[in-house]
Amino acid sequence: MTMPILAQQLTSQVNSWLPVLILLIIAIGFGVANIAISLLIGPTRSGPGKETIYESGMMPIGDTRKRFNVKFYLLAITFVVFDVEIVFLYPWATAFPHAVVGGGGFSTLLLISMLVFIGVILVGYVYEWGKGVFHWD
Amino acid sequence: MLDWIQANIPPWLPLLLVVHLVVLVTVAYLILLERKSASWMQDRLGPNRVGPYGLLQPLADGLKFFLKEDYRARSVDKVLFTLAPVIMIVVIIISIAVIPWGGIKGTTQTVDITNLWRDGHSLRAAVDTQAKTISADLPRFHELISDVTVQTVPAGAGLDSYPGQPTVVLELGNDLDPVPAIDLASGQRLYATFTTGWRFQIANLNIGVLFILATLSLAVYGVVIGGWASNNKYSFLGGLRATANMISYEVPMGLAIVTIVLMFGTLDLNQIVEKQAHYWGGWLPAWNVFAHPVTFLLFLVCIHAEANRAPFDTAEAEQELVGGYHTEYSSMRFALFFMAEYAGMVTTSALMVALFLGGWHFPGLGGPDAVNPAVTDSLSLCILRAVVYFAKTIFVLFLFMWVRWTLPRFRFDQILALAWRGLIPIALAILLSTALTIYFFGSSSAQFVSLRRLDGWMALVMFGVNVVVLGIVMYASTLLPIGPSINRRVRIPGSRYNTAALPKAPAAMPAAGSASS
Repeated sequence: MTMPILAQQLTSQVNSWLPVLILLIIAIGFGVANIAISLLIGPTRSGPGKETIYESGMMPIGDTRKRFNVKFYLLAITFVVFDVEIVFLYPWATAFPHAVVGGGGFSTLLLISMLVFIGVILVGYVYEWGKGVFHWD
Repeated sequence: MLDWIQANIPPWLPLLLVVHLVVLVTVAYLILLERKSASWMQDRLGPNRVGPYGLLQPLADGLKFFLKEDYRARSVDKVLFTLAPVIMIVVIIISIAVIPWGGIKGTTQTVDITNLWRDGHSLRAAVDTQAKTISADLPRFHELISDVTVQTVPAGAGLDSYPGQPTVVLELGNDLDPVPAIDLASGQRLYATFTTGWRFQIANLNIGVLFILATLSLAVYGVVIGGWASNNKYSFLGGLRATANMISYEVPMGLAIVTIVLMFGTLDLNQIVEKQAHYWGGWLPAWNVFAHPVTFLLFLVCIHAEANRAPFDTAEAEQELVGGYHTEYSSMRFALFFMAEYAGMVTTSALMVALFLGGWHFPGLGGPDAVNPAVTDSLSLCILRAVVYFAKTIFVLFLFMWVRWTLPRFRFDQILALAWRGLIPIALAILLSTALTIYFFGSSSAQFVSLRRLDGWMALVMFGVNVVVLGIVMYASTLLPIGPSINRRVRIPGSRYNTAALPKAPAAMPAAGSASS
């Protein structure tokens, strides 16, 4: 037991991720094997009509990869902002009850900084609301 | 033989195989349950030809999937088309890894650390020294659980008084965790209770909640890649809609989870469950669903939307988009999408049971130690807990079926309005009010200070705050304008959007015969 503390922690971290790695290998094997088996034992017949993509029985008209509604893009941008905000909230939420229990002024500081943080997000949220980003019709 | 297994096979390995198989079988039978419950709700019989009561139907379905042609049209993106279902099933399968099925199989030992404390007058140093001694001779695959309960015992009293109120719970290896200064009167003793054993869980990650959230978000890639690679207009639109749906509802879901994390200050699902394993007022299980009913409902709505199921299933609305993002898929590649959808429901339901429905906790299933209720020395009790956990998960899954066959589908704009204009403000308000409740009431509640558990009064306050905040936000949202419409409407003469009169019909043409003469 002469391992440094950091190395010990690292080893235990790696050990706790080992089951996830094994599950990952099983999962990849499951997905690939299923597709491979069905490719092997399933029939393969082809024809000119069958090779087209499905469009309610007609020959496909035009290209699929064209421009689409910009609102999906706005939504994705807004999502990134909010999701990053939530990711920042996780470490805060883990520390906050400990700080409250520990007493002292630290919990007040944590509370105020989080209020400011959410306030900044809310400004952007209200702006987007006013601009009609959340108004689909 | 049994000794050899205990010495050389880590306990998570059989658990991993069993859970993986159980999830796969559950997914197969969920499809049967879905069809059966749908047919009973619609006064039909449902599948009843293959085996007794149709119980062999999943096998027949699986066989059929293998024997069908795995077809791929010429114009699809060949690599991404195969990659999408594989991504989807892989991330969903590994997301089950951190579910805490049955608490901790192990024992507690209470040690007198008074002399260690007297050496340096530091509680953390004393506990750390004792922890090193204990972890030096642990059996293989056993570990020292990081929560250590410390209590002072008055002079003359023995360890018999142990299940009393602990003075403080220390977290090993977490130097940021505040340790109150203690002062021992003469004759007082200091006892620390250590837990050793292994967790009844596949992977014991201390960031369990984040792991599930991260893997479930990756499922969006499967949907969007599948929709794009198919080169099919229905798939593309379905993929877009599903993506918008899933990412919109991920925000309130994340906020709801943060609210629960905020109460217990841990991301470890094991501890979140353990802190729900006691009773309020002596009889009501301390499950978060009773203290946080609004957060529970938020989470319930969000997991329905995440699964892309009715009433949020515009992504695969049959009347508009044929099959949605898997229109072009057939055979096993389609089956992988299908299985991933149901396996995702299993994971989110299990997460919901852990966060809100008390996990494995049920009256009578707690361990012998009231302070560490997750710890039990009996393997059969752990397995019984896992069964209870699974039964709760099945109940939530049945809720999915029930909702799907009861409610009609929402319109797409209604879905997005519900997420962005309804759930996100409510979730933010609940988060803030929970933080304020903990800030003002947390330090005055003895149980919260020592064990970071909610006691009955704090739970009642939480419940009231939840309901009041929901009322305020819902009332305020009716006062706000919904914002300008930024969609440009194309005026089509005669359409229902254009009320202007049609241009006058041209005057009647003179008859052909009379004009020529």
